[in-house]
Amino acid sequence: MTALDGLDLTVRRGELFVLLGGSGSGKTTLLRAIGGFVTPSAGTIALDGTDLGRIPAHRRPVNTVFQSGALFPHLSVAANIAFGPRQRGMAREAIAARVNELLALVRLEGYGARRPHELSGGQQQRVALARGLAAEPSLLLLDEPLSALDRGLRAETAAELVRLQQRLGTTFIQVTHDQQEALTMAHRIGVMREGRMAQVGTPREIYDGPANRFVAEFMGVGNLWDGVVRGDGLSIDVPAIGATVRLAGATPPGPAVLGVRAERIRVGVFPDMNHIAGGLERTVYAGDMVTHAIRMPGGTIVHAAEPAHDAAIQEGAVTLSFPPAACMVFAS
Amino acid sequence: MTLSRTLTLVVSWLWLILFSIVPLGIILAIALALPADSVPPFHFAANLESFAIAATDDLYRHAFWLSIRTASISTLICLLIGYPMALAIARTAERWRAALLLALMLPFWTGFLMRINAWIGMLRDDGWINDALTFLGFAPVRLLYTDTALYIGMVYTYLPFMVLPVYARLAKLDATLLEAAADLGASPSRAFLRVTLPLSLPGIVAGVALVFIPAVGEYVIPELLGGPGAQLIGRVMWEEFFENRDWPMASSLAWMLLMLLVVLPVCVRAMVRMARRPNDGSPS
Repeated sequence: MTALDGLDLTVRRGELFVLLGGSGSGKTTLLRAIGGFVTPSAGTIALDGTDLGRIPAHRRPVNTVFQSGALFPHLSVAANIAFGPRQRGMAREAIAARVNELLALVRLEGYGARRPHELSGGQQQRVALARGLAAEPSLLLLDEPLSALDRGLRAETAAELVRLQQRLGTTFIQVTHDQQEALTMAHRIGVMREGRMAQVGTPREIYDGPANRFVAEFMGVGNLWDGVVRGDGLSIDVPAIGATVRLAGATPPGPAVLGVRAERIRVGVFPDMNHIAGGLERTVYAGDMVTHAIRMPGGTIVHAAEPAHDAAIQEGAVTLSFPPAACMVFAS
Repeated sequence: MTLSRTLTLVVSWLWLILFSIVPLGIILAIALALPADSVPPFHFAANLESFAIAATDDLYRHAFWLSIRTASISTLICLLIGYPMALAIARTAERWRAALLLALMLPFWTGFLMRINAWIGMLRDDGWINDALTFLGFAPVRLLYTDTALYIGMVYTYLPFMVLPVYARLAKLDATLLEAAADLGASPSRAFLRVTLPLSLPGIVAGVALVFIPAVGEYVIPELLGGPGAQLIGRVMWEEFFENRDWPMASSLAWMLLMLLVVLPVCVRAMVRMARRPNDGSPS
């Protein structure tokens, strides 16, 4: 089985790079290959120009924050953090100072003598982070560092991670399956699919300009229709919704996919927008938003979402409006 | 308290009283009795003389010392062989593990005496081992009725009791911890010393107790394989009971052995408590 294939990626020094993908996309395998826990059958992994290929995990200047934390249960918090520096032969006093510095960094002063099982999940994750940073790696790998935490703690810990990364300037490569986490934390995101890089870009680039249908779907673009861009490159014929849609900028002509986010489609007629008409089938209430499902004459369902407090009660035939700037066109 | 709970407690206590406390009481009573030329060969009394002799006589002190020494060496050999075996089984692919554990326990399917007698056939002067040595051009060696044969028998018999608890501990060890150790710069040998070994310590303690305690009182192996010098306490007790018919003396020895083996687990528990104490990370 091939877990990674035809993958070419450069991560910049000091960057917080997020590998985003579903299960089986190869993101964890890529991380483990960088960490030295799996050996790729072909290709090279280099850090600052040094090929890591033949270097075993314990000699790589790379540390990992494991998904489970993987704290040593028989060692105290301080001894866990001291583990890396001690293996690298740091002097005793220097280690003690480093441990205190890191405990302060992750806001766990006074917890050094505790055992891992005496800490909460969030505290354990912070110890794992401190342990990973203790030996001052050139690169820190984080495998789903927030997945073991509950919702409230997750946002807080994510902010903490970003703050720490900025302060230390260490390069982070983080793996996640959560696009929200990737968008809020990353400098750049690499979206992975079946062992390949589907797209690499800043959160804004990925969110606003998905390179293909897969990335668009993964980033939650609710409406995806096949179409053909006209010769002038300024509009696209979309049979599924029975309309020719104006685009914001020149686009290479030919077959393509049009993607429009549900939250960019409004119910009603607004000027200078694309208009399509259909029958409102149902409205789903989701607290802050409502989502309408509108059936086009050809049978296609179009999704439109609006803030719940703005939503007027609609029934029957409706017209939908969306601006040319909301139209994302990409190869299928 | 529910009926089932009461019943459980009553049954366990009855079991304990009938099969542990009562027999121990009888043995204690015999130990305090006066030897006599009668059937049974004692009169009940409150006589501490047997205990005094058991505690002071050189023959018995030597037997206790020899038993503890033999059991300690056997336990150490079992640990040195058994730990790598347990580690190897724990690191074998899951589908092969059951077969390896079965192979480990397979000897229990035949009787213990049969197996020890089979060893006599192998260790004899004209046994298979010496046949093989002669065939390969070496001089035959005396094995049977020596300490070598004694230790072979002890280690052969008790090895599974060391491997199983250590294996149970190692099988539960989270492999990610070893990856974490490697990630933090520990070579495979350092990772073993700093992670695998300390985390398997409770298994080692259990294995040591399971081997050492029965090995101290072992009678059959020194009797069948050991030399005349291997006067272990089990053998001495047998002689007191069946040859000298001095039941009070034999009972006193039995009680002293029991005390020894009660004191020992207390020490072992203290050791475990020390091992579980939070490690401040100071180098060991």
